[in-house]
Amino acid sequence: MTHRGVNTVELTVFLIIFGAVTILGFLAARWRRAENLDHLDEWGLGGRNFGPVITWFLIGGDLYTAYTFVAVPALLYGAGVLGFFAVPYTVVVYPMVLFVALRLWSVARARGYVTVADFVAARHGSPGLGLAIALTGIVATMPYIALQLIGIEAVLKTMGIGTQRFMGTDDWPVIIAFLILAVYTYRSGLRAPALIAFVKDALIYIVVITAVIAIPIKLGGFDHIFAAAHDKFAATPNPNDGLTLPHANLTGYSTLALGSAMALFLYPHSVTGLLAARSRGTIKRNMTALPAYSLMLGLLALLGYMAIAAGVKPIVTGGKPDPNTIVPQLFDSQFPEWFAGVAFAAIAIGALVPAAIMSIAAANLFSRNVWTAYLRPQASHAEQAKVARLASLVVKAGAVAVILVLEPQFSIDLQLIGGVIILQTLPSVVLGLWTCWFHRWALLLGWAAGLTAGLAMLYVTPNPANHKHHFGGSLYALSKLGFDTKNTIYPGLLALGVNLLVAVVLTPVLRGMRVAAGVDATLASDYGPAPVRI
Amino acid sequence: MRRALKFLLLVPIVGALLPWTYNRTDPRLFDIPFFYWFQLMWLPVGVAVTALVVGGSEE
Repeated sequence: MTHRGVNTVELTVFLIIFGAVTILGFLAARWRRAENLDHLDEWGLGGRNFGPVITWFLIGGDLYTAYTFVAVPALLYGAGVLGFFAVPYTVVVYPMVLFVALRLWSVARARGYVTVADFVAARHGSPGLGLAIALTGIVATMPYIALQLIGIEAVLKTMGIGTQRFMGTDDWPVIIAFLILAVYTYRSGLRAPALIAFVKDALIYIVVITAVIAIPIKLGGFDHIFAAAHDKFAATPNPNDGLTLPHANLTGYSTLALGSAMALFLYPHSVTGLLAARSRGTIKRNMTALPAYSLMLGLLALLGYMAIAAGVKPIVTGGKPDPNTIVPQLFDSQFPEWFAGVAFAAIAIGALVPAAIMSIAAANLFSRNVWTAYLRPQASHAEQAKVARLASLVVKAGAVAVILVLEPQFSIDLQLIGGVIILQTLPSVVLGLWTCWFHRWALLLGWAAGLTAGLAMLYVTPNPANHKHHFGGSLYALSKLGFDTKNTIYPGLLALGVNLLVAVVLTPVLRGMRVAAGVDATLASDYGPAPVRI
Repeated sequence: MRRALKFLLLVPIVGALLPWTYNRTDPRLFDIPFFYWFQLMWLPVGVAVTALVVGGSEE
């Protein structure tokens, strides 16, 4: 794609919507007003009082990020069928986490936990294990926030912005967007993304429904769209692309969907959305209502094939094609300019909502499980809230720095790693909701073993398509373990297997050696309905 | 009975995670290959089962 000018119509519509949302973000501090924001329950969990509707928008806005909207179709565009794993992933996640979510919500409400690490530290009697879980969450979340910036950048590039330098950087529009985000999150806490999520989802639904109806009609129907995709993949030497899976990737596809689903509700931002709910009933209703977003995601994924049929090409910057520009480019070519502006605003706001929740979640972890647990045990509620607010600024600045200093590809690698490492918190968190049989040191050593195994497998995975030798993708060849097979598997699950094995074997060993076990600070009745309030 | 209901949650989980059963293009639905519409079909199944389990539980 040659250099292009700024599209004024698109940009004007974009700026109007974006400006309105910014005002909304600042007004959010007054919405369902708290007595004061000097308490982490208020700033970090929105007062723990969101009903079913707000929770639906909040968690939907939180899990289905701009990056998802941009990257999943881009994956189908580039690699074909494998990108569709997002559908089985989001089908299985809600039935799978239903009881996990209910138990976690109940114990957190009964005991006043703000983060999942609060629960782990108390359940296993180990602030150290809580610290490990908190740091894993923070590390996994940072690149995720950075990826939201990539989503915004893809939109800006398509509108012709970000090719001009200003104050010595091309990234100035993203820096401005994040400054605004940082200030209103600091002021309003979780209420800001909750309120903005309404606008975000309304816009996204309008855009997606329009896109999946209008674009196929314009392109001559699904028959033509799938035929065009088939022809494109048939012409490449890559055996892994195509409309259906090669035999070797069946296990990989299945385990990738399963592992991603298991990881999703371990991410701090997902937990923050859950814990902000008012009641168990709110969570139950949401587990049946959230799949509406998955349907949208499934339809959206097919935009990747529509882009192939429409002959859309990614924007090239610095000599490299940026596949994340595929969806914005498709909208740019198929929609009238004003509606493309609406669509771009939807994607950009769709980046701000999860970025805000992620930074709040990471900030809560820092405040509770690093600052209060280790540095200032006597910290008051007001101090905890203040530390979290400041930490949210640091986390966002860190994400911007990642984008400025490192290649975007590095964020994508880190996010891939993030999924694998967050999965290693599963034994302490999810199994911990049902049992405290595990020894705290066995859980910690299992976590360490899982992390090491996961990172090692990702490190040796190449990507022949872009000539990368390491961190080349989320499918690990089982032949590397000496198995005589071409089958692939999601390394996160394999690492979790190692993790569990270590935890199960070491628990009786540590007991036998009489190493002091942790004391469980929760009661069996904390996990069920009608929790005892403290 | 209510306890047994929980196990219904496994139906969409297992169904959606078996690409061996749907890794083909035919039969198509509205010109969309089998692989794509069949997986989307598990969404309403998941919703129905979750609603059933939630409706049949305590509270």
